[in-house]
Amino acid sequence: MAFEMDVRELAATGKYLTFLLGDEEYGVEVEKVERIIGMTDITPVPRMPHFLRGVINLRGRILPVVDLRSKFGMPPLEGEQEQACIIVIEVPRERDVLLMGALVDAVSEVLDIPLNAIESAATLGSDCDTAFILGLARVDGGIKILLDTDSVLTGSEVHQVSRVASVMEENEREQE
Amino acid sequence: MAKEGPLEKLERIAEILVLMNPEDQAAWASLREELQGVAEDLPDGTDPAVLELLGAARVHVDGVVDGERDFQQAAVLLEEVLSTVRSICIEGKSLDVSPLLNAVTRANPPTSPSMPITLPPHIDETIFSEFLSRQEEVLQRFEELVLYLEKEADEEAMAELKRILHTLKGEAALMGLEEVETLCHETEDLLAQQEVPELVDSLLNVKDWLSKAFAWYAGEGSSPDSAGKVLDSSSQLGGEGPADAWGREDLPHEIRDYIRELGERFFTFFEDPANEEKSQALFKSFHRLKGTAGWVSLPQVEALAKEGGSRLRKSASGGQPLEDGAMEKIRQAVEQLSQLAGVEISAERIEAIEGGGRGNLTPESQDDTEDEMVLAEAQEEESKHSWINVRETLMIDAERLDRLVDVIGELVIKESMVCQSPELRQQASPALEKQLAELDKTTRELQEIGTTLRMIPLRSTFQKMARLVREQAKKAGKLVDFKLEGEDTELDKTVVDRIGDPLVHLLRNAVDHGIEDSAEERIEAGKNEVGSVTLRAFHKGGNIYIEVEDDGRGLDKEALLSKGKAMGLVGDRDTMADREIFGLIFEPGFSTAQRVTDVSGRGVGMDVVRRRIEGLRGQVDVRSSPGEGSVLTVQLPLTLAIIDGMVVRVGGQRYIIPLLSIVRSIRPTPDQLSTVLGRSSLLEVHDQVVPLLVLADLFDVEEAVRDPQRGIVVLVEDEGRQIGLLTDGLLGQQQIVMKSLGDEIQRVQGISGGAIMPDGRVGLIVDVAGLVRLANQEKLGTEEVMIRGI
Repeated sequence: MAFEMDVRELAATGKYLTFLLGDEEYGVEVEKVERIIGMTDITPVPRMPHFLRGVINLRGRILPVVDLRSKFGMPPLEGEQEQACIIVIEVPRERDVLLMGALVDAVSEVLDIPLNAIESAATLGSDCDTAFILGLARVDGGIKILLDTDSVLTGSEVHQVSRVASVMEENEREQE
Repeated sequence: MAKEGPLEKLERIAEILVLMNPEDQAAWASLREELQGVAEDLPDGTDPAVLELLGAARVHVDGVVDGERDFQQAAVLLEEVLSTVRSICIEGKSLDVSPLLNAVTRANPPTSPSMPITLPPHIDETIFSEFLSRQEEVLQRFEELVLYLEKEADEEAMAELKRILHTLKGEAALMGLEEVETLCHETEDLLAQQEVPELVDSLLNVKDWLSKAFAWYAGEGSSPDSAGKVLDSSSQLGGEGPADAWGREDLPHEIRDYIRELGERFFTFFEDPANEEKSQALFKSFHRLKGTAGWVSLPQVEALAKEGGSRLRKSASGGQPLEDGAMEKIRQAVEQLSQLAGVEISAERIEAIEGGGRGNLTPESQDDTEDEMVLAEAQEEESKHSWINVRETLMIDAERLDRLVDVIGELVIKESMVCQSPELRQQASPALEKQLAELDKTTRELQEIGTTLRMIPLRSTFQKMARLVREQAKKAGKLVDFKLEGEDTELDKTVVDRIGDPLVHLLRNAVDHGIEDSAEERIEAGKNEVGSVTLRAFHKGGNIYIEVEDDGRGLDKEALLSKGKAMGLVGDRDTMADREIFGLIFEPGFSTAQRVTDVSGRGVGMDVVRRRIEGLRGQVDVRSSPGEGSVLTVQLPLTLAIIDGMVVRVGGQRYIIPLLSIVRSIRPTPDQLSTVLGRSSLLEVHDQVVPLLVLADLFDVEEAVRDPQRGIVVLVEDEGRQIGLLTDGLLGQQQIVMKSLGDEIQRVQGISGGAIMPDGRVGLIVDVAGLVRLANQEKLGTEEVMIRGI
């Protein structure tokens, strides 16, 4: 039921910005993306959860940056980090809009994802925490995990999403 | 959640009524909805009179929503209705509601006299609306002056008050606003006869009427009652002033009277120029006018009067006939004066005399040009004089302003990046260096302006409170002396806009519940019969504090405690600090019970106040001692505060310590250091032992100096207590703009905010007050683990 509601919301936009975390591809609604900035100096803030990398200066505003790898329980990025980006995402709140940065390995592309290509994350079963996943999209043979940015960025807990895609594939194999 | 009963609804309506802006029609509309809801919720068998009363109140509010009724009167009536309904329905009293019902149904029959808003042909709409937009500030100032003059006799303020009235009168005349003009004129008359303290009510009425009238001209609100009534009651109240007021008051309206008299004398003289007596009378008139005009700095009038007088001198003193052309000069002077004063000078009358062949008038003389020059000069001077206090303001979309401020911030950062770039340094020539220095200076200046753009003084908000307290005291029948302090303190506009409602509430409580009910009660307690309420604002340690202080009866700790226990907020065996006990009044539902408020000395809905202030990221606190009064302190963050900071290094990180809290920095010697239980460190400076905090531990920074002898200790102070902060070293001083780290990472222990550093990165500001508190807790041994850095 909840999923159906999400789908209806998705229908309004249909455009997603996809990015990489390790070898998995994720997507966020383009509408929510304020801008993408290259890797910049992040000032660490003491006593914050480890996935909160710190704060950056965006045109005179101070905004927090969430390290998505850390948030999803993945190991830190090794070696080359030239492609690392901060996606600045709008998180609507009661009265205003909060801006937050999401640190990702690399940004890939903007995709049109038709509604019928999106599946409910519920099919993943109980192995995965799916509360923050809007849905799973199958595009060009690959699977993109579409994130519900509002809950990913503001929640305080670490989500175990790693290997979502592989779980999904396993499920499929079982079905076959 | 339990269903909201009629009691809760009543409370909420009362709350809305207290917190709303009475001029806000939308608020009234929602109030009407709520009233409807209460009527529906009342149990069966409720006194029909109550229902009728509520119905009538609703109709009354309808009138306000439609702009037909006076909102202030409505607010007062509605408050009464609410308390009556509460008494009947909740407390089960039987009351006769018919007088109130009558008052509500009858009150304030709508009258809308026609107002002239057809503009004269020479005034276009732009000028008119520009005129209107200026008036709010002018009237605000007017009110401020009136309230000030109520207490102090200050000639300068008096002169300004008169100038405001006079300017307004002149402008109103220009705009064709007859009622405004007349009212201003009458007010001027009144001021000439009586002192301000006797006139405060009338003057405030005038201000209110003018506000309403201007709002109406601007297409808002409802039309005011006829201006004629505004002063009626008051002038009768005050009685007649001395008939002959001249010489006592230096009023423009007197000048006008003089000119009128001068005109009359001129006619008599004109008819019979040879009559020495008449000549002398006219000369005296000129002379007196000249003197008075000089006194009130109306150079134009003064020049004309001088001109007329000097032409007349010989004839007046020696009975000699006038020189050739002198009569014409005098006539011109009289005419010009009459024009200035707006006194009607009858051209027919002169013509009639002239027609009679008596005039020895010569046509245009050469002196004319000179006259005009004198006049022009005088006019210029006078216009400068009367406009000097009008500050020009511009309305700017707040969002645009924010963008400007952000862009300035970016510019400043990019500027420093360019100026400090190594590439540029290599090529630097003395000329380039100089230019860069100037660029830097200009950029800083721009930054300074940028950061103050959003800051406005609390003055206008405070000023409104002065009025409110005055009225509240009057309503409660108490004598209250209201003092304002620090009204020039500046705060971000958003905060200033939103702090008004909570302050209204706090001040009302101070007057209603804080100050004793009667003068006798105060005298018995050994206090001045006049209660004192103070509203003050000040800066301290990166925060703005606003305090509401009264010297009333104070809070009753025992009553608060027992109420707290009854409500289950306090355990039977809990020992609570005073501050915690007083803090109970901010608990939801705590102060809403009528009975407690009478005892405890605080009114309804303090939890609303707390919520509002917390919404501004502030805190509210209360101190009180029985019999001596209470102080409510609102602490607000500066959203855009500029502070001088010392940048310090801790490992690879930089932190900013506010310069104001730094006492000195030292490199400790071994004999200055000691430890307690081998853990927490102490530092001895000048016979004083202070706790030493290792910032690297506190902020979890790796590879930083942890041995006090190898680093630099920055000694900081807050509220008289000192602590030492161990850093790797000092990097230099810098002016920074404090920013919040955002809601997501608020309340980091030891960090009060962030700032954009010249290299574009974010620097964190050390929360000295927080660390001092922390260190002192450690002394008590309560939170050692925290301090050592988890």
